[in-house]
Amino acid sequence: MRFTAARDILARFAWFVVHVLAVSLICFSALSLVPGDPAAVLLRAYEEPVSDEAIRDTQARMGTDRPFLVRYVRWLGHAACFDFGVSFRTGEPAAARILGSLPATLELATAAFVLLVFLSLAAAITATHWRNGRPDLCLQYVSVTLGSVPAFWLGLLLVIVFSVALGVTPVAGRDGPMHLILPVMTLALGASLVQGRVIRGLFLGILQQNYIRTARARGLGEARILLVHVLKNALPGVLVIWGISFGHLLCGSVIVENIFSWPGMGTLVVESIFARDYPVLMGCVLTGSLCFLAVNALADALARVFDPRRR
Amino acid sequence: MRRNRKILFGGSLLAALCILSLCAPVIAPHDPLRVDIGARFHAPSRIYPLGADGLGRCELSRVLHAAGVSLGASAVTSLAIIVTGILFGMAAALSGGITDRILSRIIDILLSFPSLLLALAVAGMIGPSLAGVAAGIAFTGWAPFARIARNAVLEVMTSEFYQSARVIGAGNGRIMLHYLLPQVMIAVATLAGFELRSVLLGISGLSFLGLGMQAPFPELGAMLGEARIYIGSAPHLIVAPGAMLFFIVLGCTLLGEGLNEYYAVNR
Repeated sequence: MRFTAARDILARFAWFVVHVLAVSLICFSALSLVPGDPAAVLLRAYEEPVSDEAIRDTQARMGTDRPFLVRYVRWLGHAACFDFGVSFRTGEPAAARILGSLPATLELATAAFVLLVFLSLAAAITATHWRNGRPDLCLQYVSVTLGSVPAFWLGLLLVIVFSVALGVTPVAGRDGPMHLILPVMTLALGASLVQGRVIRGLFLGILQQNYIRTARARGLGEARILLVHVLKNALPGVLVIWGISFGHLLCGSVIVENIFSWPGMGTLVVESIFARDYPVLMGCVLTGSLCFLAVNALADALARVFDPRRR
Repeated sequence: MRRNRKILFGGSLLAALCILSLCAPVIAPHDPLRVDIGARFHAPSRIYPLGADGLGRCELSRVLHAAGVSLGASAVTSLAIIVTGILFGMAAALSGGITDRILSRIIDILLSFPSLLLALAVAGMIGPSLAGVAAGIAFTGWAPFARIARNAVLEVMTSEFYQSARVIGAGNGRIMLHYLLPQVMIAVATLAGFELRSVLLGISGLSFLGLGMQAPFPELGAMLGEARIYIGSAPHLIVAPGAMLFFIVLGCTLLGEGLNEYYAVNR
């Protein structure tokens, strides 16, 4: 038994590594889609006009005259040591800029995640307790409606109402908890109600099980059955749903950060696209994808810890 | 199918918006690109029913044309995604053995990739354009459909009616078209509405960031992106394109949920 468990973990880890490698390969091949020569782009960022000799020189220094695979392995080796090269725009290491903006993104995503956990659970429990009743129907309407509001529109509407009209919240920036309110609501509001519906479906499935009938026969109250028996057994599935949501919150923060000028990786990524700052862009995409993969793997692992059937 | 209220409502909402955006050149009161500096930030009036934007362009005409661009781009992208997914998934299931295992792994890897990030990377690398954004979204988007098509084919292949078809000597082409494809289409249909929705949100979201449709051509996300600079002075420019986008997404959501329920019951 022990042996199979260890082998299982090892196999999963091996696949995680394969996924990471695939992601890095896709990222790197995207770089070769760049029209024009990276060396010329780098030189033109500093001065113009550029001589052919200077371009050839820089090509040799950057190694862009080497074959694709050689370049990929070299880039991967550096990326593994968290060295993405030098930012074309500011001249500082790309990794430093990425690390500098990572905390802001994590702060936003984590705050949104906490809201999502509470809101989705509350919505699911309410809807399950009064299933097919009025609260359930109301929640269904609200979740379909809110779930159809694009995040970037919701964010702008919230700014119009709370910042422009009422003047309660700051419009943009990151300076204390008040600045967190609107971005977090934009990011988590729609998603949490939609996830609440999914969790409700999970709950209803569990309510069909025999042991719930047993619990009812033993005379346990509906509230106790829902909050203890159902919740406990739904936990592994709920954890996976939340894990996937956290990954989506990380991705969604690209747009939300740009609405509120939140100084995180989402803002950095868009900035680097428009500045043609490829080292920073590649580093951001790779770091973001790694976070996404890691969160999903973590949720999966936690679900296995809580649910022996999944092992 | 007509009994399902979600399909009915979502489908008719979507159809109405499609017709509206297709008729945009006829019903729009102005040219969406015509600049009228005198009418900058014009409040809604008889000449400009939804007002005019920062360059004095008619907001209603722009919204109508933009809806067509957003809907058309998402529909084409979704179609490409679904067809690629079906072909890939069916190829995997029918080839079996080691080929199937390798193709399935490729599907798995693409499924675990954050698609919005890749779309960003591709759009960033080849330069901001609508085609770049669509390509980036389609690049990983087909993976879920490949998995569904593969599972559907494998399910049919264990069934008796498939085996009886084999026994009576039906050819490969006949089996593909009349036995496998209908089941695959049913499985795909349950997800088609949601796919249109997520592609639409992806394209308009990236256009909102300035990566998709480029000025001066209107696209719903791009219009919101332009209007956000004037959020304090002209909030009406944010309401119209956003509401249009909301109704399209709502139609997709309802249609998707309805189709999902319909096929879950009628399996």
